[in-house]
Amino acid sequence: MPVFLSLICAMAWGGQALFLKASMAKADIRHVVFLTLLINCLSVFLWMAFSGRLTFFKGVDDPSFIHFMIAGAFNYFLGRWLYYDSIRMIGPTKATAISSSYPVASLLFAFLLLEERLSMKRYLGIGLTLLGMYLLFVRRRG
Amino acid sequence: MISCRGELKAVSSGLCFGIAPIFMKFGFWGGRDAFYGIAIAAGTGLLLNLAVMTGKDFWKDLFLIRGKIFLLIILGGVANTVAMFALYWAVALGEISIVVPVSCTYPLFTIIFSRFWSKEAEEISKRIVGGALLIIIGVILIL
Repeated sequence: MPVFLSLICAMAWGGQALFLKASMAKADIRHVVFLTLLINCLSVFLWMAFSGRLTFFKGVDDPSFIHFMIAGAFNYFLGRWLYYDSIRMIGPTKATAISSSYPVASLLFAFLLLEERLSMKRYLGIGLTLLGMYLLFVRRRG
Repeated sequence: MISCRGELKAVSSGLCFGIAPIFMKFGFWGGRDAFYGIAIAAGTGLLLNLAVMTGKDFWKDLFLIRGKIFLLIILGGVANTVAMFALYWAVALGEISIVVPVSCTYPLFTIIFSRFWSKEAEEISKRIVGGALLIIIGVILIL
């Protein structure tokens, strides 16, 4: 079941990029970002309401609130704008492939901020990811 | 000079997507539920977007979107939400070491789906497929 759900996730993310590219051919990127975020937010808040989790919001003064807000600014604001704009500019296949390298960034930030150690396997993973990105950056001549 | 603005934006989005989990992790150290974190993060993103992009004619033009384009945007939003919930449940039910690498294969599905999507679909070269595969293998090794 977890593998099946993970595949559903991958298929949904994979298909999403095509819907976005097609919609941004005619719609303003501002509207696409806004409407997709609105659907995300409504779904999450409705789910929380139905599962009785909205009571969690009583603790808005706790420090984790600020951390989640910063994460939201990076993921749902800056990241989303840049991702959607890259889909519009270079197409969904290249944009999804390049942006899917985000675990490398997570790893580097974890190394710098949380002082997590890097194993040989992870160095190899970083190398392969960078090589893949290089292939996507290189343009055919002629 | 060849412009790589689109590619650089994709890399920058990867950096943003990469740093966000670090702050989510800081938040989870407080013992909070994952959905609480997602709700606050997504809500913050929506508010920031509203603050920045609602310039002249934003609302007027928004209500002019109809038909196929509106449907495509809704499908994009629903697909993202389905992915988010599927990932949440997969992580809740299984091992992260299996769930995250499988979910990271999404560029392959973009390539596969784009073959059937449209006759005018972008050209997919061996180089793009090879690059995507290397990134996915690299990410699986990292996780």
